[in-house]
Amino acid sequence: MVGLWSGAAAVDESRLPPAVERVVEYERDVRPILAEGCFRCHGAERPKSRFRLLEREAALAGGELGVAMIPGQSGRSPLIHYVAGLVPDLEMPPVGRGVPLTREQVGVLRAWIDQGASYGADAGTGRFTTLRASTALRWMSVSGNASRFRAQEWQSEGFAGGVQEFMWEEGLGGGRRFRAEGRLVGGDEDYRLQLSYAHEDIGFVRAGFEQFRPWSGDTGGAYGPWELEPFRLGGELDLDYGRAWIGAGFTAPDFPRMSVEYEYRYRDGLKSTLHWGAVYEPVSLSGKAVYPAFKEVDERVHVVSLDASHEVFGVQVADSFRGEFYETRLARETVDRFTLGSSVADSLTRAVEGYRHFQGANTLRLEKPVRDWLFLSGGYLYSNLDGEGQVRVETSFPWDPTLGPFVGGLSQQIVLRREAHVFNANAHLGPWQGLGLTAGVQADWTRQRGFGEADVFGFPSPYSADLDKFASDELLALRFTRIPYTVLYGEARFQQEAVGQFERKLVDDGFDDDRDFLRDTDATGELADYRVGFTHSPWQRLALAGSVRRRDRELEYRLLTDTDASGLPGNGYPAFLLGREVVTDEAEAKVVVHPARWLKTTLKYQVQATDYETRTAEGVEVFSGAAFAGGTWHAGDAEAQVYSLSTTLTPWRRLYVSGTFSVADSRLRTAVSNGSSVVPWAGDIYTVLGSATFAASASTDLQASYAFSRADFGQTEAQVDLPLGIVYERHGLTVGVTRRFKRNLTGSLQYGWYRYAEPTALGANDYRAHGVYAMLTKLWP
Amino acid sequence: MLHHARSRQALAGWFAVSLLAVGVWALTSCGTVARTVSVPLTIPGASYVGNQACAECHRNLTQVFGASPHGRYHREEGLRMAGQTGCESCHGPGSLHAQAGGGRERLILNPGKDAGACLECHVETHAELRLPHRHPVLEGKLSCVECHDPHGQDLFKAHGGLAMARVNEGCASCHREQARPFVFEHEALREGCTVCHQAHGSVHPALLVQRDVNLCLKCHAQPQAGVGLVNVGKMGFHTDFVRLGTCWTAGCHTAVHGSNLHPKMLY
Repeated sequence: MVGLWSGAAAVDESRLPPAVERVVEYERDVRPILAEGCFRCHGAERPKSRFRLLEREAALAGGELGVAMIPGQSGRSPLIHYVAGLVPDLEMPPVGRGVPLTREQVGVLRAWIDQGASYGADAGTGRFTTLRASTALRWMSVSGNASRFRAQEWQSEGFAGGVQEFMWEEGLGGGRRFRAEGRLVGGDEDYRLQLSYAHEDIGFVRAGFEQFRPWSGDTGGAYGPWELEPFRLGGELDLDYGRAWIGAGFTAPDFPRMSVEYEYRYRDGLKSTLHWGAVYEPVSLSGKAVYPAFKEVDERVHVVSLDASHEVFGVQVADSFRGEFYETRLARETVDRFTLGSSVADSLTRAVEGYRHFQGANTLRLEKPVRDWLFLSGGYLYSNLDGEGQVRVETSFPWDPTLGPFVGGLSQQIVLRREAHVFNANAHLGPWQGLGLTAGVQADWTRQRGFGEADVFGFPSPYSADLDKFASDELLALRFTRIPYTVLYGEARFQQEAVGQFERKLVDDGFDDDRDFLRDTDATGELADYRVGFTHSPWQRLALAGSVRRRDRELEYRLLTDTDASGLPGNGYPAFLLGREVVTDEAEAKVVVHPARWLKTTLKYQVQATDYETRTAEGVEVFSGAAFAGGTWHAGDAEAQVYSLSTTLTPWRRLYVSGTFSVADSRLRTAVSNGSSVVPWAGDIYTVLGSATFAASASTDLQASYAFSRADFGQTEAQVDLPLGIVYERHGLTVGVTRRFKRNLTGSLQYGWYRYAEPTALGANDYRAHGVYAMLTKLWP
Repeated sequence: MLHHARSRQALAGWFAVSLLAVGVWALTSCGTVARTVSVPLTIPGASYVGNQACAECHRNLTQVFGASPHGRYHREEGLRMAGQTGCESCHGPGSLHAQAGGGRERLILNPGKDAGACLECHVETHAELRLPHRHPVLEGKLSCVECHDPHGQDLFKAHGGLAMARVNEGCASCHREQARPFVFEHEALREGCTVCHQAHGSVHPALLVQRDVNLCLKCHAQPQAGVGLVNVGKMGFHTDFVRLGTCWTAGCHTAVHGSNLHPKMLY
């Protein structure tokens, strides 16, 4: 039974333009008309009236209003009535949304339908195959610190290679599509595989796996006066990040959209840490923390996700559930003390921590476009976490294996619970006369409970910590576009926070000592964050943007209890701190100049200044009895300026050059960094990036790219001669050629050169590397 | 010596002549190769169609886009400089995509897969992503949208809609080890990971903002009981420790994100 679109019966066919009297071809005659006037709304994704014109099968099936085309009968085909503009309120393209078809174009479509509405042999069936694969081989030679090279360049030395990238997409017709893509690079242990099958009217199934490997450097710190090469851990420190997932979704029209997915994430391996251990010079007994440290990580996460969404009475309702089981085992090994001249460490601490939790979280979100000028949304998040853990801290003495190991900290019964409720409501209004308004409120309540029973040198030590936090956020944003070619905006965000915290730790050893700890603190916080700015483009060749921002964060502490079992008051940290305020001012300016088609330049300047202030009560240092003054204290200030310039240049159509230059100048000075014990933190970072591509012939491209960065964060104050700051220069250059051998076969060959020099590490981190990359890419069809 | 100097001059001369010849060849041969190199953010044959055309199909995104941080640069009818505002400044000119009836990644750029579009404007971020310690975005192992929602109200949010992000939520999806609850938490985490870490890239390991005790002292600096002394809390004697290195080295406050054992984060 073939139905007709509503309204079609009233059409006077004699008013239709006649069909052209020639044989029409879809690709040559019809497709350009449909592409210009129809596909935008009746394409593959979210077609209007559920009418798809891309495939013959779907086009003949029609949409919500019934059949659109009747092969051989263009005069009775509603599609022709609409494109001819004969049906009021159903003119196609709709009034104001496209240029009406000419009588000639309507005639072509009529002829096409009269001749059977053929899409041609290869078009309109939705069947296609696209396959692209790139195989690559790399050889890299590194002299110097290979671990630093791996960590910084994300590449391993020696041979690496495999499938750099592949993509296979298969259109199966009827809105069905299969897609597979990924990479498989051995040597770098870099893998990715994504598979999906989708039916536009039913749903999808997808699965995948990916993994990549960051490496760590193995070098500790350098202390110049000792004139010794920095200590190194040796070996390869790598930590694999991976995840695998499988999921399915139901996306049929008119039904709730639902999906379920299982995801498995893991991290496994070794990484270096910055918990550098102390090394002492045996005569002067001066020490510096320069001995490198590392951590073993074995982390597993299982996540189940359930998502559902549907429109109910004009309200989009979406619910998402996440159930997460997390388990980790961490083992951190730090040299506590090493005496120069020794072959082994004096003492070594190994902290092993196990932890796992289950966390369930559910988010409900409602959205409704009430009017063209009013959009409302609201949501509620609930999450609950239940965890447990163990910690064991052991100190051993490698210089005398008969000693120890001694357990310095042990807790087998750590329990953690966290519960959170978050509500939010938001509105987006306008624009009216160019004025748009966004407003939102969010309330976030979190309660956390932690308990443990430690064993400190054989003595039981129960401890606990409770945290109750309530935070309320308000957001107001205005955007004004009435001024020609200009956007003015202003935003304000406020937060009020109330925190109640109770912490205690007791050691039942019969003695009063400083390990005992009891603190009950109420804290209130306020945040005010303002930003105003503009974007302006008065000419096609110029655009300007600028903004200023102030962020003021203030915290007040009320110390209800601050005692310990030993009777010494104020053992809790910071004990006498009454408040803290951090004020940050920012400004940003950007100019984009596009003076000619072949030149575009972006210049950006950012400046940021932060003041840190603390308020304290009077106090007495516990051991010396020296008095601290109370009052407001300027704790520190920071400044940062960043200048950035980016240019793209295409002086000839065969040459493309781009470059980026950036200078970042930053400084942090705290009230303690007065030069006698701690020096201010200050330095510059310079970055230069450049790339060029030149089409040397019809089938050959030449490419070059260069990256340079340099940092100067040296510290020169004599008493802290430990260069925790860094001075380095890093270069990376690649040059290569790409050649298309056949229409679908491309090969490229590149040479890469890398150099890194870090004088602050006394050269221990320096490296030079040379590499050759070869890649072959094949496309089908 | 003179002979060597002349040899060097001759070599330099040959090099200059060769360079000139290559340049002349490159310029004069332009007319013989009817091909252009691909410039980022262009789609061959496509032109800009304006935000309204995108809204016809992508209304779920465009209706809240004005409220997003990117909405600061957004005009419905655009600015004079094409591609500086709105959808096509990130997704490239959309005429061919619209004519083809849409389709994921069909004739349109997806910044979620290639950060190039983002870095056109975020120039300073491009530089940070090339520093020695960085998130591997340019290496293709991460993408900008894994941390940022470019269409949402807050760039650091994990969920859609207009809701505001919860602090650290974006980082926690990968860094669970650091963002999990602790019995004794480090209060700095309530202020956000970026108090200590520079998210895109840093010259320091662990993407630290500062690498020495100043990182801690900017919040923990307090009145001192004597000139040249570094006292923290009421228990002083930190002077020698800070000269040793940082607060978290030498077996001291090693549990920087929080501790399940010690209130002062010694483990």
